[in-house]
Amino acid sequence: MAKAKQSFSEKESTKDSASGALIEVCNVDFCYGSHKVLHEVSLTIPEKEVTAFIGPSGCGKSTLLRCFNRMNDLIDEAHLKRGEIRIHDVNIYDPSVDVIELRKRVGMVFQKSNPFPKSIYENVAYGLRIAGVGNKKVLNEAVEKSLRGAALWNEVKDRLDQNALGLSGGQQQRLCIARAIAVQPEVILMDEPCSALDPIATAKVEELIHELKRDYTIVIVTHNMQQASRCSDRTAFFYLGRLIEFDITGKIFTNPVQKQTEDYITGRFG
Amino acid sequence: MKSPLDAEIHEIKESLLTMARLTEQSVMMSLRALTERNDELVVHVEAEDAKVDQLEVSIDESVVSCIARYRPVAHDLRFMIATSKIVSDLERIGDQSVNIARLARKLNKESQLGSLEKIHCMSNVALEMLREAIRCFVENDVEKVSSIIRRDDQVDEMNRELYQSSIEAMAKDPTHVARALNLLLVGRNIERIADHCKNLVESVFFLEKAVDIRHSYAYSPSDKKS
Repeated sequence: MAKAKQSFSEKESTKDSASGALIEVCNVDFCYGSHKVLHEVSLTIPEKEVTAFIGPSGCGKSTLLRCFNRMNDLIDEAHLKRGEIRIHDVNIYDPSVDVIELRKRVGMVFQKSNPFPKSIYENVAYGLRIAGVGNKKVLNEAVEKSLRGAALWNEVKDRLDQNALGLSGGQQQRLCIARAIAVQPEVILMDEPCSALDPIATAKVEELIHELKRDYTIVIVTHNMQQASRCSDRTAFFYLGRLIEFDITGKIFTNPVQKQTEDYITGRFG
Repeated sequence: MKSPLDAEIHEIKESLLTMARLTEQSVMMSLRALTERNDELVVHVEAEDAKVDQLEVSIDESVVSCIARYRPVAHDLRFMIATSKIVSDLERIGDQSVNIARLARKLNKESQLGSLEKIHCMSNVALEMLREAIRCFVENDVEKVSSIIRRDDQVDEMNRELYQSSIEAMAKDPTHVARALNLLLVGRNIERIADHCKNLVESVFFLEKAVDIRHSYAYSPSDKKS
């Protein structure tokens, strides 16, 4: 008989509530084919906090982010060579793990907003419908709650049946966040979520991140130092696939321990 | 190639050093006005103080502009904060020089009251503290911070001795009261200069080590960044 797929919600009661650790990365080496892009990375991401990953292009921050919901599985030859990534003490790279279930628990928002060419309502309801929710009342409530959670409700409540592609870039990105939180994940991964937005839309998404951390654990990859310093509680600096420094954001931006970190955040890199 | 922020920092540092040089000259001139009984130097000190005041304003403007435009972090951010405090201390030292010079003008109108040896000693220590504090800033050096702070205690002690001897002089001959009081005020201003030098090296320590040692001397210089 096949081994039962592991569920993360079942494991919630076993989590270490004292430390608040949600994601634990232990000695991870990650490769694309024979090319190693992460080297012995270890860090612990606390729950209901915002953790920012910073570093120059190609340093491995997005690769690590995509490990958390195994999005890298979709890339040929990408594989975890060594180490473990544990969420609620479950090794998410264990063969018994249900990847679909993992991606429900660990939602993702991408650099470029990617709403489906459907109505605003259907974009948010999509994940729930796939999960088998058909009750109109339940869907209505979930859509409203998610859109409110994404600070978009007041802007779209009168045009839920209109095509989502008609929204502005900032609204589309918040719609994607609403779509991500509709299935009630625990973790939201954000890969440069504001890089294509203007300062006003960026400010709205940042305010939203601040609100969302009450209910969700957020990991954000950003090239914007100010955004990392404004939004996050902790910051991890990566360079050439290695974690150079991980600390409270205030510490990283006032007195980093490592010279490489200081050189990067002050723009004197290389 | 220097980044725009590096260029701004370099310029701010240059202005700050100009301000420090002017301040040091003012302190020396004000003391010479007293010891050489030279009223002309008082006018010079007053003129130099106006330049020091202008530099304080312009350096602070540059700091605000840099914070707004470049949003500095880490050492750059501490440089901005430390600089703003240092220029404030230098400006106050300039004011103390003017006070000393104006007291000298009053004292020069009357015959000298005994020896100025205590004032000499105090001012030598305070001036050396100022020079070394500026050197600490220029050379990013915190090794001498603790010795400069200790010398502030030495100046405080000298000021207490000056106070005691002035009281005795006043008790001995009440006609000396006005002159003794003015000398006491000179001592008080030198003592304040030493206080500002102490503040200045505390800012340098914060700049280089990211540790605030104000109101506490229980620190040990930590290792440099790896």
